[in-house]
Amino acid sequence: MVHSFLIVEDDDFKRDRLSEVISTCSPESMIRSEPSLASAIAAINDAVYDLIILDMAIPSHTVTPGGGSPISLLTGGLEIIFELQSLNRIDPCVIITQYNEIEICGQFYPLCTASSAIKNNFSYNVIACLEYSGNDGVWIRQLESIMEKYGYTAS
Amino acid sequence: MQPVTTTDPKTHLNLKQLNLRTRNQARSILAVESVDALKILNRIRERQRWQEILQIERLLRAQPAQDFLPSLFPTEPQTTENYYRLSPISVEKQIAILGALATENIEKITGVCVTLGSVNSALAKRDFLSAAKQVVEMVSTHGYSHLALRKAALIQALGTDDSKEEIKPFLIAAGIGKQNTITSSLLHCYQEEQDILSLKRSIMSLPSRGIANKFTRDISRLVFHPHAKNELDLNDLIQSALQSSLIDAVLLLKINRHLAVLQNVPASIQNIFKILEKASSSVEIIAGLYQSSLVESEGMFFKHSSAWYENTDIIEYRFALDHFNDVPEASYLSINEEILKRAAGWLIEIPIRDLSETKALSRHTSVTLRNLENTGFHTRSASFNFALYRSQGFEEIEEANLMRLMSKTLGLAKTSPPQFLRNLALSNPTPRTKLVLLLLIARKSKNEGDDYQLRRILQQITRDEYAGDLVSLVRNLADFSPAIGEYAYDVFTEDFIAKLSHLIKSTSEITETRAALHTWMGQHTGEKGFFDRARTLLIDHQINKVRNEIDDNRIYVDASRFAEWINDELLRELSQILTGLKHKNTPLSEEDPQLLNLIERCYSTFCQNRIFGIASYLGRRIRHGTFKGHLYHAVIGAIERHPKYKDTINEPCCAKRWEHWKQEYEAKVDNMIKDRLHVEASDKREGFLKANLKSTGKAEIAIGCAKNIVTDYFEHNSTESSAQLLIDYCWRLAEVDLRNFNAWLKNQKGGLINQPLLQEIKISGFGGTREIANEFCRDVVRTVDEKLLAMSNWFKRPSSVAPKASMGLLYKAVVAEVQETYPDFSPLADFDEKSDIDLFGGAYHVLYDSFYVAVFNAAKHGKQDGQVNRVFRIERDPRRDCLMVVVEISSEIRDDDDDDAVNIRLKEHLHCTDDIENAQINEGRSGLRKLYQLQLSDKNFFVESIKCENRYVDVRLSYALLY
Repeated sequence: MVHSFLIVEDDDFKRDRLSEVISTCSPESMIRSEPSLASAIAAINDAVYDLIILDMAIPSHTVTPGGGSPISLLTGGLEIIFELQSLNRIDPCVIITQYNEIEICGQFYPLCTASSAIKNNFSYNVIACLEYSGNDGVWIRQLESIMEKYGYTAS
Repeated sequence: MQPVTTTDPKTHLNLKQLNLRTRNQARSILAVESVDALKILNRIRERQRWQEILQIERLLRAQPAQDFLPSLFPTEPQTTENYYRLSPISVEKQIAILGALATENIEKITGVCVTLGSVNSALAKRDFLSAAKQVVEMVSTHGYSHLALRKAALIQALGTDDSKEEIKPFLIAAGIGKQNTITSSLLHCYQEEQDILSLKRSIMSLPSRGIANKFTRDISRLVFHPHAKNELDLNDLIQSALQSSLIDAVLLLKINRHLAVLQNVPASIQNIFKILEKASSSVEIIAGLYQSSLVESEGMFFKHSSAWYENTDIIEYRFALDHFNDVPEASYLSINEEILKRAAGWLIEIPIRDLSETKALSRHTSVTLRNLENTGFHTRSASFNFALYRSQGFEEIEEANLMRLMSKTLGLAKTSPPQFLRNLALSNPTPRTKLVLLLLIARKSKNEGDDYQLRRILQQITRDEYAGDLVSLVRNLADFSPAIGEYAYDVFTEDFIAKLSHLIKSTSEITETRAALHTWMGQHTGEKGFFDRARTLLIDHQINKVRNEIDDNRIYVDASRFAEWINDELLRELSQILTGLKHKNTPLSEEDPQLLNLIERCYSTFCQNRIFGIASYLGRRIRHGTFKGHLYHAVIGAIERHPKYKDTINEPCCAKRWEHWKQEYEAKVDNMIKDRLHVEASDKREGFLKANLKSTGKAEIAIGCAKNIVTDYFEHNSTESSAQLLIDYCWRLAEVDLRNFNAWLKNQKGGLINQPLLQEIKISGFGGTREIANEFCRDVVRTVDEKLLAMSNWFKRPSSVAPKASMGLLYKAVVAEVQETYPDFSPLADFDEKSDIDLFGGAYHVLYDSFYVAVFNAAKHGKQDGQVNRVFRIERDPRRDCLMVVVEISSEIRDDDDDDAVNIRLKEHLHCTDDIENAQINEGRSGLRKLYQLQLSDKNFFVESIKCENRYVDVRLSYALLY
């Protein structure tokens, strides 16, 4: 079965690595990558995804030559979750960030408790909040195990 | 306190009235040094009955010099921490002592009240000079009180020049020129332009230094919030008020009668309450001091009302408004049934749906105050919040009524409890009602979900009803209620617009939309500044287009949160410093150390705050993973995945060397992150961002900032623009470090790349041809170099937050714009970025417009393909004693023209100066007279000369620089 994934990530190196990990687990998958809030919102309104991988700090818009600087949104990832919620969607989401805390309602939560903070404050189930730590790391195994659990890996 | 002998007859008599043990303790107090005496005295206060404590206090007050208890009727103003703070006693003991003191001093208090009556009568007749004289008389005869100081401040605010002159020595004695917190905050509170809620918040949150500034904190709050939250708070307030004067302490009890403990106030004090009431003017007379037809009058009445606490109606008015026109999360507030009940004694209980039309908002009978309430906003705003607390938002309101109500209230975004606003939004299903209520919630709530709900409904309405045009929506909202339109303009900042993903599809639309909103605000208010801001944004936009570069800036500061911090933490102190400077009439005190210290603290927070400061963006957008990801993983990945190298790189002859090279490179990148990508601190000595002013460049910028703030305050008598000025200048300060780091980063290539090792890889043959090995090494160097260059773009000031442009770039952008009309016009516009002059501040749009005039005229009237030259330089202008940026633009005239003919035409054109002010309308942006119109509208811009010489039209312009 072909699964569809959305990666919301502005940094090329991280996006490529995430794509690699997903493709390895699920070779037949369709992966769409969006580098900004605006393009990610459009992607969400275009289609439903089996899994959405979210970065937390993202730019408001995709950078274009001569277009000026987009606004840095430190909690831009939450906007995607709100958008899904307003569309009555429950696409599974995993937050993979390089920062070890997430700001929610003016407070910083370590990644291990951030999912429950999101659930408590916004009533949305985020599967996990993982710390991206380079090419290798715990996050890969965690992501692989999530994909396996949800049946997204090639059997 | 100096030890004294107890053989003095009066002391002896007082001592005799104490029991033996207390007498001995009292002797000790008088005999030892202050610190030890304080311990004994506090022990007595803790253990003895109020009668003994009173007796000891009598004894102490009789001493000529002691540091514990001021006189009950002090000869000097009590506006500083002159006394040791005694330990608190129970409120019952405190009130009993106060009762006894009132009985003992009833004659003196009556004397104060008689003079107070005379002051009030003079004020009622607007005879401010007489009132001032009476206040001076009151202080010299009956001693200082904060009550007298408030009357003096009222005279200072409302009075005539001669009355202000009369009262001045008293205000000086109270510390007006010494930046005394108690006096300066009082005077600020009474000023017309001052935002009272911001000032109240900063006074109520004065940093606590424990008992060291308890007196200052308590007395300063009397004009903003004299109501005790509970018995503990009341106890502190009475103790501080008694340190100010006996009459202040009694008046404080009168104000706080809502607390249960005050139900049994001694008869002596109740008697004084009546005497005070008698001395008071009626609320009708007090309200009569203000013109009820003016919208700002109720605000002034409210600000000045603390000068009339002797009046019970005023106390009730203040109780209601102080509780319901304040931020609900304030620690000194606790809105409960008791508070609602007492407030209901003043405010009429009106459902929210009727509030926009109701004329009678409160229960008093004063016609004049009612008129003030109906033309002003304060009482209606308090009534809204009062109703909201009562119903908890579970009530209905029609859309039209809500719109009207929003035009008759103020500050609800700060003062309304969000949880009840949310209920009100849920109880009222129309989209516009929801939009307005969510707008009120958005700024206050820290919940990102609230912000999202607002944007969702806003986008829905804008798309469905206004074809996606946000400005049309704002315009339409303003037609219903100007206040909502203005508030929407405030909320819809660049940061907010950027998140409207369904409406705003590109970065340039953020700029265009905000610029359009500035233009609308300019049309709406008629203020030129908004047009200037719009123009500046659009010029930035034009500059970006001309640059046509990727702008991936990652350094940022959340401006609205930072501005909030400035208002809460710095505004009071800033106001205090500026009042002091103004009082001393030293407008050139821009090097005032206190002001510079404040700017440094502001800058430090701008850099270091982990929620909204640069540090938060540095951490979350750069340092954690991203920097290494780009400079290490992306570089290595690009090389290792390259089809040319991916097989050969792992061959035994170079794999080890390549691994070694990678390890070294990674370690160097890690070190850069560990050492440099921080705000400098004791454990991060190489942190690139220095959150201080310790460099010549920064010191100069800080002085420029101080000068600008002082000038603005002297011009407008308000600190309203100070936050924006501080934000602008903080970016200028940060840019010093950003520029240095940028240059440093670009130069790291040599340090990062281990050339000898790369050479070894090259010599090893790289498992392929020599040529591939050479290419490999070149690619490694190039990839690192390109990354460094791209990443250096992250570390700069975002152009959207604070305007900045280089002269060369401005000129180039102008030429590009003129080329849209004259495509064949192509003068040289390239420039050397390194030697270019950077201009900061919104005023550079004036230069852009002036360039446009000169360049457009060259294109229109000059020789086709002729030369157009420009020179920019900075020079000191001895006439104006300041630095000027000088601009010279010269363009060749047509072959069929000559100098004389052109000069005649120029003269004819320029001598038609009768309508220069309308040059903008009549001539667009191209007419030469527009230059003179710019000169008229901006005092820093000068048209030095326009003439034709040697077949060139020379336009010479200059602009005065702040620093």
